[in-house]
Amino acid sequence: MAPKNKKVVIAMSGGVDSSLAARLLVEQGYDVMGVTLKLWGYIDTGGKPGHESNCCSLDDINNAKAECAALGIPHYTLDMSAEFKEIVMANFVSEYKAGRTPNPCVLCNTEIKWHQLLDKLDDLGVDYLATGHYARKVKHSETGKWVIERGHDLHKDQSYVLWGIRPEDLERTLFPLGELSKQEVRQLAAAANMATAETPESMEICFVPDNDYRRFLNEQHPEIAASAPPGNFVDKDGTVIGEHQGIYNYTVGQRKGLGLATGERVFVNKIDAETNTIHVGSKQDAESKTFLVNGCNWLIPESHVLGVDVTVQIRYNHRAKPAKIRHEQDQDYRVTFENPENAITPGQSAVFFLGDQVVGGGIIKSM
Amino acid sequence: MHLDQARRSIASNLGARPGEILFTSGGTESNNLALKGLAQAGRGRGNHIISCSTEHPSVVESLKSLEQSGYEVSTLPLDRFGQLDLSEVEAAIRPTTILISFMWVNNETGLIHPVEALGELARTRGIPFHSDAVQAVGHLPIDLSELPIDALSISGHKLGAPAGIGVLYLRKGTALAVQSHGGSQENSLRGGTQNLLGALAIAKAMKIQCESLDSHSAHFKKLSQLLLKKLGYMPHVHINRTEADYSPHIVNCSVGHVDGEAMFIRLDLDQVAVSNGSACTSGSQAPSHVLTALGFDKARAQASIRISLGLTTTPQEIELFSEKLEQIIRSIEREP
Repeated sequence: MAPKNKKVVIAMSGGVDSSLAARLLVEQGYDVMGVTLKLWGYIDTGGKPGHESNCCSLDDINNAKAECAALGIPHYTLDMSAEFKEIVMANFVSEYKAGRTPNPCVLCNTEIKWHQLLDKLDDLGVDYLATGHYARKVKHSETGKWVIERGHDLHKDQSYVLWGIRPEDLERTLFPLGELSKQEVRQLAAAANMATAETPESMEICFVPDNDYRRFLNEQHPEIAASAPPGNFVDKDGTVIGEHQGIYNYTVGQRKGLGLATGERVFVNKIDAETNTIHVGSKQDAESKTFLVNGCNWLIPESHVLGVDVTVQIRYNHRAKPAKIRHEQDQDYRVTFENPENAITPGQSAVFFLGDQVVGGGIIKSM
Repeated sequence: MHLDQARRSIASNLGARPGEILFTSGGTESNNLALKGLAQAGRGRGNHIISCSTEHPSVVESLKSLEQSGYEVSTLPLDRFGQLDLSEVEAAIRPTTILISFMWVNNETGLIHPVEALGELARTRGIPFHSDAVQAVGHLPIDLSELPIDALSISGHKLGAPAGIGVLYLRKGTALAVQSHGGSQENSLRGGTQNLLGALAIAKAMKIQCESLDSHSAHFKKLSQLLLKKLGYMPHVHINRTEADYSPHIVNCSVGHVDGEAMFIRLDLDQVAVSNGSACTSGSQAPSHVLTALGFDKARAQASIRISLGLTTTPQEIELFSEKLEQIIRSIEREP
């Protein structure tokens, strides 16, 4: 059913998911080309040559190349490291500096993997961009607009990190793995004797392979430590109960590593960059029913979302909860949950669902 | 026996003596051996080395490694056309200078460096002079009996031999510290059983190249003139050449108002094999260090094409290439 003359670029990381996605597209009859993005150099992020990394290494690029060679399709590596540094890395640093907790994968998808890559692909006469994400692209019944539906495999569903894709970019997107489970992907890859069938899962931020973002910031951006001096931990009543090591070292909801001997379990409730103060308290103190988002992307007209019963997901591993959204002012929208939610974290993405369909999202701004 | 024949044949093609020809595994090893070997042998006299910013990675990285072990390296800048100012080289020489190394022909721009004058500068001061001649042998006449060059690196596969064989010419009497220990082969300067098949192949390839140098040169000149003429008419194309001497088998040009990566992909999809850097930097996707050293910004460096002409390249292929390149430029050109 896929027309032979439709040109598709599959963004390949060198792992099993995107490799199988490439194979499926070829089997469906598309004219497929593999592309691997070079987003950062392992050495640039403080790694030592010869050590293992999870992404963007020559090994990964060669894996992708080998899969394409096996499929008889061309493969190219595109260097988008300048764009990645300018947009994603810079935001990562400035968000932590501001006491917020960024999700670089969301920004990378929205701006690099989709927007800038599609712009480049225009020069190659490409019709569609495909990725190995576990998500589906479907038409919203009421408006006829393309929206993103959760992947069939809810354990692997990645729709949360895709909310920022602009409607015109989504139009040109394919998700070949949307109907498959991870297990099926591995089985199909093994059955096709694919070299990548056994590649490990990558769960962390690609440029922080050891998952230690504080090490990354301290090593790569020593200026951040210099501009984020120690300050006070205060409790619910405003009493100073200790000293923190600079706000970028903390995230909302954090319990470990606070170095506070209060006798009871305390959590970071709020990070106030202006006063360089970190508010701590019990888990209940960190609960809130409502928060503001901005930087919103709407996949269907917002009039179909505002005031309607939706569910909102506020973290990658959060189960979306019933809420209503209304316009506050300018670019700000207010999300109000039916019940209080714990650790709503500025900088993270809030994704708006109608059923299993992503209809929009934004960045959590404040309570 | 056969090995000696190969050695003699190569020596006679280069105006050298058989004992001055060392077999290596290729151009990269020749450069590593020459730079490290000459630098270490000269350590008693000083620790200073002079080279330039557009050398091949095997030279650049060898020099970096020497720097890490206590040598000082002056990497001379070139002007934006890749030209070298001889008076700057002269000014850079110190009492502690123990090695001067400049490539003969740049592998990305085709520019010919004045190795004779450079070698003369070095010789009058008693400093060994090395040249990476991987892109020169087979393209330019070379008579080492007449040239003030003490060490010269040559690669087999650039001459048409299989990969895995190279030569380091080392003038008799030039001290070289051994880098590969454990054997008396190659005058005890490079231990390890020689690659006989490779040696025979490079000898034969070099003989063919050197004996046909005039007709080959005529072929390359004719083709490069045709190519330069075609490129001259093309929109947004700037040929990276000046009045200086260039080896006719390499033409480098930059294309403005296009995305360099997209242009290369389009060319590749059209079955045109050109490159935007040295093969030794592939995988990095970084802009060419040679073009960057010449002051090109990243976008221009990435939109620069190195066109290498071969003995089997035909005028028809140049016509076809030019046609395709122009089509591609027209279809992807962007507003300035």
